[in-house]
Amino acid sequence: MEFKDFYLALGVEPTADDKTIKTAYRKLARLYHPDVSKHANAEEKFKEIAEAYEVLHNSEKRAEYDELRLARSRGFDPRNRQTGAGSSSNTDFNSTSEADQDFADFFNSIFGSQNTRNRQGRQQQPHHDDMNLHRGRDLEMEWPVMLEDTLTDTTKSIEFMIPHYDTQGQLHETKKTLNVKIPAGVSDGERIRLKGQGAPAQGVGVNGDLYLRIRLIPHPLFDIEGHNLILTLPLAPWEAALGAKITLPTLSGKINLTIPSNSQSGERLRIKGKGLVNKNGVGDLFVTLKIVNPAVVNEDIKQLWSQLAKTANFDPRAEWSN
Amino acid sequence: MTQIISPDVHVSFDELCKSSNISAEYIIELVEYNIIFPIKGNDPQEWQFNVTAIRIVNKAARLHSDLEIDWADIGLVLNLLDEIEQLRNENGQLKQQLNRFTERNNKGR
Repeated sequence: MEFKDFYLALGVEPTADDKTIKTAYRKLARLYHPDVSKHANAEEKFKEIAEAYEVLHNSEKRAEYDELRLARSRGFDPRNRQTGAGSSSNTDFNSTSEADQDFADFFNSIFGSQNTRNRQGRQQQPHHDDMNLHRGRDLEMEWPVMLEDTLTDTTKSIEFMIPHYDTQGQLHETKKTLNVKIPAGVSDGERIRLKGQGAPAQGVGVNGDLYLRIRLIPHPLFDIEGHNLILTLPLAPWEAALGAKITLPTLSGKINLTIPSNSQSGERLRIKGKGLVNKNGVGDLFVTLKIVNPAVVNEDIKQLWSQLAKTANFDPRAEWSN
Repeated sequence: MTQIISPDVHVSFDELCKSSNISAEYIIELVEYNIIFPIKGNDPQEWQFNVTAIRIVNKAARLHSDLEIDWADIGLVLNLLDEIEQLRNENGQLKQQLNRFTERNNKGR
């Protein structure tokens, strides 16, 4: 069982006043709140900060914590406190005294779990608790989807584990399989909601919902730009110079594309209606031209390039001399 | 396993309160601040929202309680967070395109 130093978590002295504690919490919360932070372990870090603040900004809880902290520094293990005469507030102590549970859990057992700072803000915003008492948990999971599958409504099978409690209150997990319709035009990061497919309620009540967070699997050829697709097309220098007819892959099959003569590297050609589906219609496919030079592998090729160099009389850096 | 489940697109006012566990008064306040808006219905009992409203409401409640941000300012915070997210995505997409453009440079050499 690890002792958690709440003062250390907030980076304040144990003698800090309420204002200092509040300022420290605000500063750290803005840095690590999972909704605003991109830190790798923001969620965990914020939990520690919130837990510390929960205790330290309440004078009664803080006094009790200080007492325990002091007792601990004198070599008194608070885990044994239940054996002490006259101890009244820690009746739940046994249930949290397992080796792998940390001090904060222990502390919760003293103050009661209902005092834990609630990240959904439910304490400050009373109300639907009664109704929600019997509602199962909402579940959220990532769902990888291929770009091709977003063009039309597609049905896919999904398997996931669903947590539920038995009559003894023990937690179990059961595998569940669903056939889900992916609506055409879903985008990366979009959440789709499957009503009533979340965890069952404990006892009587309605199921929670299942949220699927769409993750578009990166395509080996196409990049996404809004609802348009980008394809980088490698061309030989002579194809760009003389023009060419190319067979081009799209998400919905191959098409023929004419490359105009005198094309330049980096130029974009637009193919209407070959992008991703969107609520307002269909996006376009943009083809970015990329001139790739062949290796000079023999004398013939070298001579041809030399001949071109002499004949073309071309200075690619002509603008620099102005 | 022949049943096909279709995602829910709309959520009623009552469902929004239950799913997010936020009181009706706060949801109405969020509507008044234009943080979420009903796509159908004239009064709360008829209101229908897009399902994304559930996530917005939850996020707004977390920002309000954890970071002590006023309801009046939450709209601005959410807009800025969305904008950052969009810029990050766009930046990622442009980097990816640039990689494709440069990595093929070496082919044929």
